[in-house]
Amino acid sequence: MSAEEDLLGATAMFTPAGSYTLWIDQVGAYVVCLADMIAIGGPSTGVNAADVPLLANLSRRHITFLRSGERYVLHAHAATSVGGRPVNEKCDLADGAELQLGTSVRLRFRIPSVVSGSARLEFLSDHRPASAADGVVLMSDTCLMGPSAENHIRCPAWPSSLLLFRRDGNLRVKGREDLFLDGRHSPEGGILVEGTMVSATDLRFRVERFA
Amino acid sequence: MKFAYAPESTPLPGYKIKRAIDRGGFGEVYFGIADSGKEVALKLLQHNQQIELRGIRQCLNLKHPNLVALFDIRTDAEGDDWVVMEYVAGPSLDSVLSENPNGLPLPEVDHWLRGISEGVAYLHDRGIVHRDLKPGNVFSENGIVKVGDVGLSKFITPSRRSAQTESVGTVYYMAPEVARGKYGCELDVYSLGVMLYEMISGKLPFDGESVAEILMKHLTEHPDLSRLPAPVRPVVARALEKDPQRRTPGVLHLAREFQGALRGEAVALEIPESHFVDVVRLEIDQSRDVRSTPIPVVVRPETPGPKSQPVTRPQAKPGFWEQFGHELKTNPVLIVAIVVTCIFLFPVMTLGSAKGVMPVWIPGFSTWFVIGALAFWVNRKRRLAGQPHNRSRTRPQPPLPPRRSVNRTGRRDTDRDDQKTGYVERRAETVDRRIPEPVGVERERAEPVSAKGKRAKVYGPETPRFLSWRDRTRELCSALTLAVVWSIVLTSLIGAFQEYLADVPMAQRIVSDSNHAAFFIFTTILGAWAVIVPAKLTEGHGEQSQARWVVGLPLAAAVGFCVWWLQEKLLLQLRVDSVFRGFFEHLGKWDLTSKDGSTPIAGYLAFFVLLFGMGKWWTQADSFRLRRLSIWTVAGTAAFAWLLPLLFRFNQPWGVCWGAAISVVVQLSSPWTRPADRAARVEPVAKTIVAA
Repeated sequence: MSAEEDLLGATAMFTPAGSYTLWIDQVGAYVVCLADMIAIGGPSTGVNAADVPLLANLSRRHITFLRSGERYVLHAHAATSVGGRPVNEKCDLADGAELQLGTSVRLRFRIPSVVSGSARLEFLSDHRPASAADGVVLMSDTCLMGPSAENHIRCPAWPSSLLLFRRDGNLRVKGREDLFLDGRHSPEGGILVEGTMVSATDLRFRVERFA
Repeated sequence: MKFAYAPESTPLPGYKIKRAIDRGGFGEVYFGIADSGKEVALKLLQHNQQIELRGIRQCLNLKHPNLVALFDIRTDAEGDDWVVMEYVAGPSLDSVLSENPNGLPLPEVDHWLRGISEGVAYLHDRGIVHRDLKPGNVFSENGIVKVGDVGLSKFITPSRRSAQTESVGTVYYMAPEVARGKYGCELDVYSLGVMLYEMISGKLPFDGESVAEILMKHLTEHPDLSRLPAPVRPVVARALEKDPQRRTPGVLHLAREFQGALRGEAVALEIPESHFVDVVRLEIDQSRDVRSTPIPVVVRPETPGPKSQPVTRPQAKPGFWEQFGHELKTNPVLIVAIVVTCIFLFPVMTLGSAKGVMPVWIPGFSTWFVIGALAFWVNRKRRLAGQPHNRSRTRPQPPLPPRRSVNRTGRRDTDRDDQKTGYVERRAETVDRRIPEPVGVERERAEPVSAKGKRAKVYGPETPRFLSWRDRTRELCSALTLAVVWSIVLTSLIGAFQEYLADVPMAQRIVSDSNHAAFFIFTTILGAWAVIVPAKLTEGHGEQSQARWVVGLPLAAAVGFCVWWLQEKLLLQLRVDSVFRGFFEHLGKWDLTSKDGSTPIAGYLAFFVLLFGMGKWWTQADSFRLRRLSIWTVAGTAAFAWLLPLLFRFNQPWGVCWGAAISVVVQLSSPWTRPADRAARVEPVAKTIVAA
């Protein structure tokens, strides 16, 4: 076992929470990953499966994103290139980097907002997880959902942005709109758990655990 | 946006709704997962269910990679119908276009067009018209274009191509014939043409502030092709033909023509000049936009995104003075009218009635003013009706695509890969004798037959063609008005140049004072009008020389009489002045030349009747004459007038000047259609001939 894997294994033990899928009306399904370390790989049902397994010809854990502070480091466990250049073990990621995993999987790494350290993975090739997902958010402290391009999850028809944030180990939501959580009025920082439905006049989404 | 069903609800047994996707004109669409895990789109039919179900049942078993697959139609416990269909994860063309407001790169356009046309051609081949092609209904997933919402499709066969009641489709992409309720596959070609235009340019060819305005533009206006690259203009122009019969014969054909244009192949099409937007009218439209006070009217409630913004329409009609201001800027006739009015008023005010000018000036001026006002009114009416402006004079000159390989017979070698028929470019004189074709993508086009058994020829004054009374009146009024202007200009020129001819033998000062100038101006105007009026009224009726002479010669005599009356009234004595001795002195008991050297009434009558009987003067006023101003015609007329005193003595310099001036004025003031544009004006008459 290399020192690298040691490190990764140790970090994995502190994963605060898993991943959620947000089913957003008129937008799509987005996977929000809360852990600081997210592995992406091929299809697997085993214990060592990736956090986001894609239906693609990849290693079981092909790459790992590691967030430390504002930085994102990509650890490549199999053939990977960033911006056309092969990655040898690891490399820093910048906004807009294009990743190629194996021969055919292509992803784009984005940090759309300057006020948040969260990142978004866009699927450039047609490889997706087995269950529906239109994008993956690697969420640090906050995740913005709203109409403009600076949001992590772009919801063009929404009147204003919502903020997902962590507090006291919970995932919470707040926004300018009058929000209802499962039909109950929740003006400030309602807690999102599996199955919560968030709605306002012009928006609606449901939180599910990402399978 | 509110949706009827919440996530996790299961209105249909076996499917769980995960989220709402969108709401279309015909119902809500949800993303659902079958119990097995299969992802589907579930469409709840809320309105127009009967149509929708009928349409979808027809299409349920159609399979094509470029069509969104339909899996099933189900009814839930509440009696609502659901369509279970393939979920397409990729973006719609609508969202792609909103991210590319200036249009897509041409190879990408080709990709979309190819996919859409394959899918729609498959539908057409099965007798189905999509009827609702629009960017919101087209998706791309994994590089495969998929056409959705086949549910709106209507099952039609040629025999059912009859009036259909309800309006269909989205107004931006709606073909003009939908308004008439009769349509077939050509409808989809049109919609695809609009989409093609939008993909290339990022703009809609027909946009407006209200549904009614857009519909009206579909019906009457021509798309502005100058936004498109030159090679693809003819392709788009033909797809956007108002007349379904003249449109590109199928969606595959459209895609092939587009690909050919991209490869730089010759396209055997000419763009009708009418497809370039009149700059003058654009200016008016734009200035109207600025003025209008908006009130919101929702146009496209079913499609979200940037285009579903509330749209506005003008509230207040522009006032008369605003109209007048714009006319002033854009209507050359009006400007000239005002300038000439000032010129006219000046001598009236300064010379007064002292020299006997008044009785001549006032009726002349009033006549002219009435005609000018009529010209202004007709022009204004026409523009407000949204019809193209008189292109023969004010049309901007757009860059034309290179002339293509249409051969002289008007027939073109057809597409090499067009197995079935190929089409034949319809030239002006050719008539498309079409049989009601089976609904299909490629349609048989009958061989064109010429109306006269001849093939493509040069269009001249004798070519029969249709001219509406509105056009006729407008052209006539503007020609009469311009005749006044040109007469004045010419007289001034003669006045300016005769100084230099003072030493030339026989040269005589024609415009020696204001009375002579006025006399020459009026006689020239009268002569020109006498040519223009009958010519314009009979224009396009074919070769009818005798009838025209029958009308023309009495008019010539009338001109002669007026000239005589005027010179009597103005106390001008035109001395007989001729190098020839003259063959006749009398015509019966009428003197052609007086003993005192003046010309009596018979002389004037004879001169003008002979001058106007010289040849086919009406061809000089015809908009299909060979050249706008033919110097040879003018020279010939002048020479004929110079020779006329061989018959009887007359004032030769005045005669020559009258002949030349009338000829020049007639030609300069009559509208002229460029030879390239003539075909478009001839076609309607060919149709009526065949119909008869």
